[in-house]
Amino acid sequence: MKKSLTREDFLRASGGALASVYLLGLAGCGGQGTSSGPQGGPPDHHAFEGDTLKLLLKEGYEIEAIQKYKGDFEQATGTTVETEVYDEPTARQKFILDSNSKTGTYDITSVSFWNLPEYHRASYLEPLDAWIAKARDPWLDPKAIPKTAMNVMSVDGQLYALPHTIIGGMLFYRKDLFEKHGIKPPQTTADVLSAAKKLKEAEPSISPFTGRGAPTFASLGTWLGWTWGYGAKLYDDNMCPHATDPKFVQGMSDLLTLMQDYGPEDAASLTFTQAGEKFSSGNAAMMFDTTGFGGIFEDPELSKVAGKVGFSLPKGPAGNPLQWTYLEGLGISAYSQNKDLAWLFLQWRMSNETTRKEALELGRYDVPNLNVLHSDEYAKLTKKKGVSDYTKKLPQAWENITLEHWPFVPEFAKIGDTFMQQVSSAISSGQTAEQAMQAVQPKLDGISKDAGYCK
Amino acid sequence: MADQGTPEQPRAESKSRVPQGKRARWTLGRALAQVAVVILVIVALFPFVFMLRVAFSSARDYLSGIKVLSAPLTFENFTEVYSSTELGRYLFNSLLYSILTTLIVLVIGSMAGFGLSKARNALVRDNVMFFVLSTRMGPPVVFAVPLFLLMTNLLLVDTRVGMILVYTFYNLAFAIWLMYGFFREVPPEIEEAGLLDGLSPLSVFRRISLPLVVPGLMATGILVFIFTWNEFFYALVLTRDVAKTFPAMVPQFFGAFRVEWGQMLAASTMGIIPPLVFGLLIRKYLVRGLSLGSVR
Amino acid sequence: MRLSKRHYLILLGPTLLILFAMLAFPTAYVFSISLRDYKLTDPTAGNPFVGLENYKTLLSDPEFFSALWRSVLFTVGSVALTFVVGMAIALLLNRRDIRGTGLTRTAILVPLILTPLVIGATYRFMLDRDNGIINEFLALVGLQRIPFLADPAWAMTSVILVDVWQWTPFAVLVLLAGLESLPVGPFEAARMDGASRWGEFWYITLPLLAPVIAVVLLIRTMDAFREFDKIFIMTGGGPGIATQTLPIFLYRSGFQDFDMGFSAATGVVMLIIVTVVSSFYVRRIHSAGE
Repeated sequence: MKKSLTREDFLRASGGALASVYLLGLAGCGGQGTSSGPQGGPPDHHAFEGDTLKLLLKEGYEIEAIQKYKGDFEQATGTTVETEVYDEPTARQKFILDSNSKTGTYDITSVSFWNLPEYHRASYLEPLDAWIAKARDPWLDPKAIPKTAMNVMSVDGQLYALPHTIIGGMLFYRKDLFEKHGIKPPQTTADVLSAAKKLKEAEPSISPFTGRGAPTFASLGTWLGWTWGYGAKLYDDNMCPHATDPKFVQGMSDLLTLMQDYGPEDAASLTFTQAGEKFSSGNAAMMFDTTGFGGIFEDPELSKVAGKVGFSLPKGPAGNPLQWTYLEGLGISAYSQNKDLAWLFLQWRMSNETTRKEALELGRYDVPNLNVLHSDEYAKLTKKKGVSDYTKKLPQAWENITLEHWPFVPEFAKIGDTFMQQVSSAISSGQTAEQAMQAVQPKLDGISKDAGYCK
Repeated sequence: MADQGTPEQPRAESKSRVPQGKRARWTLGRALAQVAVVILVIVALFPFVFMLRVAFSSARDYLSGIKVLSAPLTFENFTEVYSSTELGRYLFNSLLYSILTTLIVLVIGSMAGFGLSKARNALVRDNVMFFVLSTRMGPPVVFAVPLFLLMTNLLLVDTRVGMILVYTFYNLAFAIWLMYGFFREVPPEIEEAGLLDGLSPLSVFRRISLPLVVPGLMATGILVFIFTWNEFFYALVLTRDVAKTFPAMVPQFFGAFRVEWGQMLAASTMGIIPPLVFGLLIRKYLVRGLSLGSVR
Repeated sequence: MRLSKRHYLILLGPTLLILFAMLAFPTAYVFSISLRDYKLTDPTAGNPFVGLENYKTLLSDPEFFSALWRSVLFTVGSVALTFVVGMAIALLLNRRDIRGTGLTRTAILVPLILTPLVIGATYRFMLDRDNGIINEFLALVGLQRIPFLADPAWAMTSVILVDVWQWTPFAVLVLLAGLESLPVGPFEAARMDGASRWGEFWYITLPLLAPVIAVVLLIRTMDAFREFDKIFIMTGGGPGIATQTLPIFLYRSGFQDFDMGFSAATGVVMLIIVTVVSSFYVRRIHSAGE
């Protein structure tokens, strides 16, 4: 990977032969080598004064703490922190392009667990185990982050990102509307369907249901998590796709019905932010998505339905709890020129101080710092804010998390995009689940074959 | 296209059936035509005017429908966009690339255009011209993948040198084609006279032909400037941050949560000034340039 | 004036060098990449040579044909509309009895020189379903709002109309120049024979304008086929793949799916299409330029 200096000079000179010397003076330097791993011992906070960190972030509630409190970090270290926020597919694209051209534009990136196999294979991320061992700052309490989360953010035993989000599946529903019309809280997928039917007649101006329908891999979790309730997996252990499996089709059919017949008219384009907005603005009565929304929906400043939300962890016909497994963290680019500072930032972000503020001031009740979650302050606050319904269900939701149904492979993004394009167009066209799954099965076959799976 | 009439034939105007002159009577047809022209101007200019209007409106105003048309003017979008993005740097890059590419391309392109205009061997000349034209015809997207990989390997991604090289290649053929056309309009007698006076052919080029095509040089130069300035695709794929141009920064206003329309259009207002000003300056040559010289 | 070989070398040397380096080489390179299994995110795989595998995948991929069809739809729609509207406007501006034609000719230059990406971004705002000014006008007169860019049926139409908006002025100006240089003789003869206005247009104007029309059609076709900027910023190829033309398809497979081999194969196919279509007409433009 590293070339000798003279070869780089030669390439650059021959590339710039046609430009004047003045141009060469103006040319920026491309990213070159990387700094050589952690220097021993906890770093001095002011060792990097004047430096700048660039963060590539994916949209989501977990970055609010970063944006609100980065000033603390800047003051403590005398540095500048710049952030760029994009939707998930764009953030991934930018990171891959940046890593591939080795320009090191970004020091830190949001890392969704499902992209880890891809990033690991291409060595885009800096492995963090050595850093934890040799350069741990007091900011990082090793016991604070749940071990399972650290394991999920590792591939082949190497940790690649410090987790800052653990998410499970949850159904949110308007308990006020349910009470009003005498519908009992949904505990199974069948309950959800019958509730949707009743609500459609009882409250015609509100969509009974909302969820993710956008045609990108970021929506896949909804559909695979739901069908897990039916005991169905899209892929078997050899990574052969079984989209036309009857149990899987049944699950897809129910969810498709919910989105087609009981969902908003733009259901086929909803990202998680937009789907959430439907619910928080009062335009949808139920939403199947991630536990992350609990705090948002119960915050009167962000949501019009605060205080009216019920939480349930429904099961499917096979007795499996519905899933929405998602973990996210911050990782360091392998090509960053500021790895020491970046590592310091990662530790600061998950420090007790920062996460405590995040939970208490920003209302992020599911911040994965065990010290914070088990503290008295936290218990007092959740009681005071009336969110105990939600926080009480969190541990169970986290315990329900499984990855059995998940294609944890480098081709995940392609699989997710292909599958969701079919589903999204089925939502808007009214296609049945059978038809959609028939159409997508050969495409998934092609991807598996191309990647060398399913022999 | 050569004038197909002989010098004695009256100009084409009088072939029109419509009564001549603006002092003629107003018929229904004429009135409709007049209205159509007005509508045409409105349609052509409305998006531009609207862009300016939104750029100078506050977020509350431009999100409140028709009312934006009468909202108070404000500079807040401009101050916001300059402080929260690197617009200054991107505009500078665009300017740098456009100017340098134009200079390089004019030098090389005029030499090649001159040489080709003197080529006797039609076969060679035609093939070279076809070769040259194909870069105007070929979709830039086709070369995206190889250029991207090439520049990655040469460590030229997101460098200013790299972008200038790419833009030189992008515009060279076009410039050659246009200059070829302009050089062919130079009366050969003047150049012959130069030769007779003892000048070498290259001196004739430098001292006689070139000065005679200065308007053509300017037109070509400004067109190259505009094409380089407006180029988006290669800037999107081959720059990250340091070497980014003005068009390539526009997508970043389409944020995850909402779109910063006001800031985006404020940045756009700043960014379209050069092509608009220069383009209108050479409007005489614009159509010729865009149609590859086939229309004078 | 005779130039020696040495003169040609000096005059054309730099050009040929650049064009070779940056045209011949990338063209060869894109062919080469298209014959490999080259996934950007899998550097460990070694990019093995797989022959025509990518082309096989491409030509059996319904999404490719969908993109091809969209390209045809977009190109034909945009070119046809540009020509018809452009011809009408050119005839309109050719009249001597209305005011402001000079100003109009300058005004319609604006769409041509504005940055295409900016045009796309501005229209994206104007066509927005909830906040766009066009929908505000519709709502004002009591009509239903139209999701111009979010509805699959409307999206392609909208994108074509924006392209028409940008490029019709080009057709207008070229056709106008053509109209102005037409000889008067045939028209006078026709009038003497009592030809109708439509007959005059159809049997005299059009045939005489044929070379100019050919130029307009060819250049517009080539430009519409390679259009990327406006579609990218207005719909990104969406909703779904409703506006995914070949250039967008190529961009996605290369820079979002990161399958370089497949993307390169798409590029080669596009190159073949363009070469075939343009080689018919390149001679035409060349001779028209004489």
